[in-house]
Amino acid sequence: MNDQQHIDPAIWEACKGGDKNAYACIYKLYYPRLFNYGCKFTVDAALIEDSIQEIFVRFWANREKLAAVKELKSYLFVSFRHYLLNLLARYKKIQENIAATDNYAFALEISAEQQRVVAEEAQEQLQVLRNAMRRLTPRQKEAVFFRFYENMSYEEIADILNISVKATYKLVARAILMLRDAYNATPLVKAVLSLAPLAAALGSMQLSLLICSAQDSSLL
Amino acid sequence: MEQPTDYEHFDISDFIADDHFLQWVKFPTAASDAFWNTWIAAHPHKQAQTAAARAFILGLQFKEELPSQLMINASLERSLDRIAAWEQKQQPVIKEKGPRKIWWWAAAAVVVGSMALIGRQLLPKQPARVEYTGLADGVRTIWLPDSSKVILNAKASVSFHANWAANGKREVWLEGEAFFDIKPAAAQTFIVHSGNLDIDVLGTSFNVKKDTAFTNVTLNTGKIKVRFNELPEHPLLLAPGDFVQYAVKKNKVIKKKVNADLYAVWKDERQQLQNVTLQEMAAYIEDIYGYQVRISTAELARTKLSGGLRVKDEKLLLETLAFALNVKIEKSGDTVFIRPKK
Repeated sequence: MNDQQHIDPAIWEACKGGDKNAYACIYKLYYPRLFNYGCKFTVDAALIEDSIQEIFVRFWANREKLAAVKELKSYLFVSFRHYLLNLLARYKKIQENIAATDNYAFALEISAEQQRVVAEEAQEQLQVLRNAMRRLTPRQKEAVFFRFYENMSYEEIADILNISVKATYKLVARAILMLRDAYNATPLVKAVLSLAPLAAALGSMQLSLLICSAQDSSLL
Repeated sequence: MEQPTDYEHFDISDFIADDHFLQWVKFPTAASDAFWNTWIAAHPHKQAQTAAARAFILGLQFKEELPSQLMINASLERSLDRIAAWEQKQQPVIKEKGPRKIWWWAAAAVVVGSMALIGRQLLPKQPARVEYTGLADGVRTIWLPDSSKVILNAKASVSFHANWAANGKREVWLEGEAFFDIKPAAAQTFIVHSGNLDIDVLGTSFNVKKDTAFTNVTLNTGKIKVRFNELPEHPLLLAPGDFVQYAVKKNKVIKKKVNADLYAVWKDERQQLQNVTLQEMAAYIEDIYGYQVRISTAELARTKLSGGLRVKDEKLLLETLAFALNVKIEKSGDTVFIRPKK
């Protein structure tokens, strides 16, 4: 799916020079990925579409200021995240800037197809992982998404989440620990171990679960 | 490839978090394969840990919500339109450069001229059409080239000429049911053709449902004009909340006030309804499912409903109503009776 990590530098140069075909290549590569990412924040496809439209016009207007193709990916994700979260905040009439806080839901879920494929005895383990995923904070989930789905470097993730690289390492490491805990420990011991982070995440978790269940039943 | 040397002291989590290890697991190359296979062979006590880290990474497969190719292309079209519009706004700066302006226009004239020539030779007589078809089950949102939004109900379809608005008119043809949210554009009228009637739009949102027996039009916001092919002398101007039903066989038109949100309720799974009376709901059931609805008492008819409602099908709708209002709903022939539970 994401085996094409970056756009070809030649295409990037052509786009910078004003080539619309090159622009179309970039759009086709990143539109589905931004869309998929946006679906973790909201089920409102129109808001996601509007945000992508808006940031791509800005990208076209500012493309000459972008130094290297390496920056492109995090540039698009940063501006998309910022724009969409602001739009969502306006919708919910929340005064504060939710991009700057943890006050959002990120509905990252283990794929259901996978569950159909694996053997009977592995099903339970997958369910445990699925539950552990829900226990992560939105920020942890986002970091896991960028790291293991978008295959981004710690530097890129730090850029997008607007935190230091060191904090990003910590964020990812803690999320890995929580997920692995769920994987290995017997359910009883694990429940005790993860009670603290569970309580911490509970506020945002309920919101996220709500969105997940609505998402399962909606079709685009 | 440069590698750190302290993999010796790595545990499973360290391997999972490591850049090189992750890249190798997800996108192995000849070089990384060689490195890690050699390293693991040289450190047999680490074999179980690297295997566990690898299994963990490969086990993390997330639910994806990827748009269809059609959606990607439609979105790209809109984006290209928008950056073209943006560039046009930048244009005046160039224009000020005096004599250059003439060259600009000359070049443009040539390009347009030759394009028209090619067009006449290559295009078939009938202008090409673009068609969007709804899902077999569920709702689908599409955008027209002018960024107007159309939400198609199951099995509906909307089509338009590939050379959109070429004659200054924005025109679409509808089969089935759709909700329109039209971008205002003073210079270009927007027309929806739906079998036996046409709708002139003046920047607005409304719902159209066409089936073999009836065509229903409900206006949510703005202003539209409905023209009937068989009744050309009786166009109707609609205000928000107006509902118009055209009966094909009888060639008759009914116009009345309804709760317009209710008629567009199918478009959004999470649609919230505010203070809908059972009376309005009954009218909706009559219009959409063709029943006569009888409510036993006037008081019951005035009962208000608020909240999320899913109207996938008639059965589900009636069950939900019965449950929410604690009433008994019975069908007898094509009449539905609603009365309080004893």
